Amino acid sequence: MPIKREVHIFVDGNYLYHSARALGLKQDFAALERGVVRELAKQWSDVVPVVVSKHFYTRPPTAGSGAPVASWLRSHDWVTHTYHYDHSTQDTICTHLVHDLWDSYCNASFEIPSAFVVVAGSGTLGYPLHEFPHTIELVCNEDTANRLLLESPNVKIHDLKKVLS
Amino acid sequence: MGKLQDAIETLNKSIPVSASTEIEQSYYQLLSDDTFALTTVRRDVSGGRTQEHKVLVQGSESAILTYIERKLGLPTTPKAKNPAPVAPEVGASKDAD
Repeated sequence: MPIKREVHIFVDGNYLYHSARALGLKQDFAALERGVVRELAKQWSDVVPVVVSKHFYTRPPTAGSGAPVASWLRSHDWVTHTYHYDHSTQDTICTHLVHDLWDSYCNASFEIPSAFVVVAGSGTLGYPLHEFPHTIELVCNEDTANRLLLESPNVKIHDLKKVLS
Repeated sequence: MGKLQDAIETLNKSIPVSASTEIEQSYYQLLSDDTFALTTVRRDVSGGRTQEHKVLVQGSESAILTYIERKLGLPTTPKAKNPAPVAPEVGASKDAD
């Protein structure tokens, strides 16, 4: 009988939006989720990935922008974290994302193994992910991935283009 | 909102006292049955002014309750979900951040 593995997904909305555009791809969250599950299933034999939490961090440039996307996400079981543009930076988002990642890791079930998927720029989160005590599945643009993370034994890089297509 | 309100109160009690001279206060506040806010009040040490940083966390009641329970280290009972079957056209909007 296949074993279940709980999957937690954390997305830096700003990174996804700009990277998808640069790659000529749609920022399609259903495709993203399917792609993540497909990539994880490929690397684990006899393990079924089950997504149990999905977090989206955003810093819309104007009040209300991004609302349609956030609203769709919430109706599909995502939790959205919205920051005021003028009172936050990309670092603010990444710091909170890493905190939430830690909380999920520290409080994950011991009975069901967990996987932690981060969709973000490998440069911004380089050190926190490199130091993370558990394997991180990092979805990013493989062509521009941070060398530190490419060589990091606990970071498995998945190409954003492959995941989204 | 009773369960969520209780969870928010527990979350507020779990905030450690900040050793930073810049952070004056952090608190969680339930705004509706699908939204809560984390506000951090920062003090500009040189000028003495304060500035509020707020993040809105939104989701279904069960999703944000699970998120809070996870933050608090409480056992959660999340529903197993399969990926959404249909890909909607949400990506091309320039409204997205």
